[in-house]
Amino acid sequence: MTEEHQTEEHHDYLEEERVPEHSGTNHSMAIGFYIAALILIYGVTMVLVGMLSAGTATEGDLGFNVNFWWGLVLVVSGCVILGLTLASPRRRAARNQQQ
Amino acid sequence: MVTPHETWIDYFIIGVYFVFVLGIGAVLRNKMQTSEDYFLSGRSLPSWITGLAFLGANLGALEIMGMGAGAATYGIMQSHYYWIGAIPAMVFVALFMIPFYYASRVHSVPGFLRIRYNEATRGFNSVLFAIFMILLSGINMFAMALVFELLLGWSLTASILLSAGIVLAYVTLGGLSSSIYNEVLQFFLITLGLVPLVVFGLIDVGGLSGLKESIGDPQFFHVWANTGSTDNPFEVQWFYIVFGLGLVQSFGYWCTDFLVVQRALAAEDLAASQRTPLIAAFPKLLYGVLAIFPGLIALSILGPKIQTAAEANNAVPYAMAYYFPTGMLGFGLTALLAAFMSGMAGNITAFNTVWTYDLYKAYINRDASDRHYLNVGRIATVAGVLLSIATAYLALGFATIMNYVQVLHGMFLAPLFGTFLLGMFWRRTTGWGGFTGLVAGTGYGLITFIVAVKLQGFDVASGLGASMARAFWAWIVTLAVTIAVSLVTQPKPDNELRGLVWGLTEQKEGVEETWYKKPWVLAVTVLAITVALNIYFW
Repeated sequence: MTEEHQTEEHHDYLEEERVPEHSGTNHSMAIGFYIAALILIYGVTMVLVGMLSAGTATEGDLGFNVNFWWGLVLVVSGCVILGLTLASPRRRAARNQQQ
Repeated sequence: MVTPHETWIDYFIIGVYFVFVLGIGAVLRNKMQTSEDYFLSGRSLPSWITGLAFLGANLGALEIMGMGAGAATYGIMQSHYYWIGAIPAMVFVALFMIPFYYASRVHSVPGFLRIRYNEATRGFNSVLFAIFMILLSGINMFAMALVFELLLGWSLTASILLSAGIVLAYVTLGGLSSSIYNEVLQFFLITLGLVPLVVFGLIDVGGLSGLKESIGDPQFFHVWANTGSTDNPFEVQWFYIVFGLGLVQSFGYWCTDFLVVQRALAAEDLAASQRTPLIAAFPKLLYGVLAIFPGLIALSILGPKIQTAAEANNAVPYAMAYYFPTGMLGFGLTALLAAFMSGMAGNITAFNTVWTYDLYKAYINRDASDRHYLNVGRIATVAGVLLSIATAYLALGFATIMNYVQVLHGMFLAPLFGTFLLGMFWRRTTGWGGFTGLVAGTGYGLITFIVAVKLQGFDVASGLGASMARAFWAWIVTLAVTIAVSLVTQPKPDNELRGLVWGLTEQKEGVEETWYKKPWVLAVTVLAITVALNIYFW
């Protein structure tokens, strides 16, 4: 490849692939809800499993209801993620802009 | 051996995950208007999301199965791959590399190589990178298949095909945007799945002291104390740990692996982009414990049963099957699958980007519509998944996951890091200097590996210490050849290097008012914690 060709391409490249800063799609809220939803579903499922059956024995039995308690941790985590997403400054800013 | 008792509840939990993953891909499909949306998520994401995705992209089979296997084999020294082998490099990337990448607006590392060096350098690197991504994607498929094989009793081929189908569906439907969603998701799943494993395990064996007592090998609980000689589990001296792993392998990975760099470039502005690796560094510190301890716990409960490398590979799933009842087990498995899925999807997406922009658009069809490149990207995804199936079987030949990945890193990333370093900090580096250096370094890595396999056998040649040393010398070769050739070839004029070389770039400062978000505050904090951890586990 000649030097000349390279330089020409160099310019093409810079022009072609320089792109606008934002495309206008906001993904951050959606990600928060998506994650909170899945973790809440898992948390509730595990709490229910823990309440309905005492839990099948495992070889490393720890003597407490693993499903119930860790399910509860998941429910709390899911609520925290949901809360943070709802309370995020970005959401407030978006709401203020709309009004 | 541990027998799992999975029931329909576990299948239900795994099923819900797949419904979510495929659902989000389908929903996001309509929002993907331009190829910029598809590949960089429209550069609209806040730094906490890109930060967790940055780490999520890094948390593949290697982190979960590989580190657990390493810990069961080498003890707590394995955490070098986190504390010395990741944090300093992540800080460096944030402070020095991201401003360059962000300002030059390249889609990929090969793209950067082209404007700094020449077409040949970019072409060489693109081809290597595409191969590298397919090889890594295969190891994720392999790890996933191991989990299914062990816990669900599925055959290797069946689980490989299933995972291929699912990854194919969701990358094609949603692109990188759905990858980022799932990387952030898998960060939470993996954390919520590994924390109970470590906590339950430590309760069971009686805390750290109980763990030490039950494993009974004091060398397994020191990271630095025995590295004055090679009389330590890694069989390597501190020099190669610091310079081979800590400098070359780690900086090579974090600076030049486009898979992770791409996540920072998806951030909404320069400040957020710069903060991305720093935000990721905090959970990365924690993973030095979360990924290492399950391996140690598995070793303490299974003891001498972990003898072969294949059993070490399965240390984490064994420990899960041992402590988790049905329900919780489904959740733990989902966390593992999420890591492999997103690791694989990340590799496939990066392969797709490099193929579309740096190979297809550059050499095959230069002037097509945006829609055309989007379709080419989708076809590349299908091809990438099919090729990964083949490499998954290739990975079967290697003893452990960790060794496989480290051999690849030493060969592909260490020379590239040398090329980058000189290109960014020495303006005299010439296009052909960069090219010959990169080819020489990669060639050195490949040839010495083949020679070592012939002379010393496969296991020695693919050992972790050997990979560290090979990476270090491949890097030195790259530097030496690049400098030598640069001195006898014509350098580029300064105006062509503006924005590409340190000293010729007007650094656009990322404006950040909030004190706790300032890059150096985050950097100093994370480095201080790293030092403290190294002293604590000395």
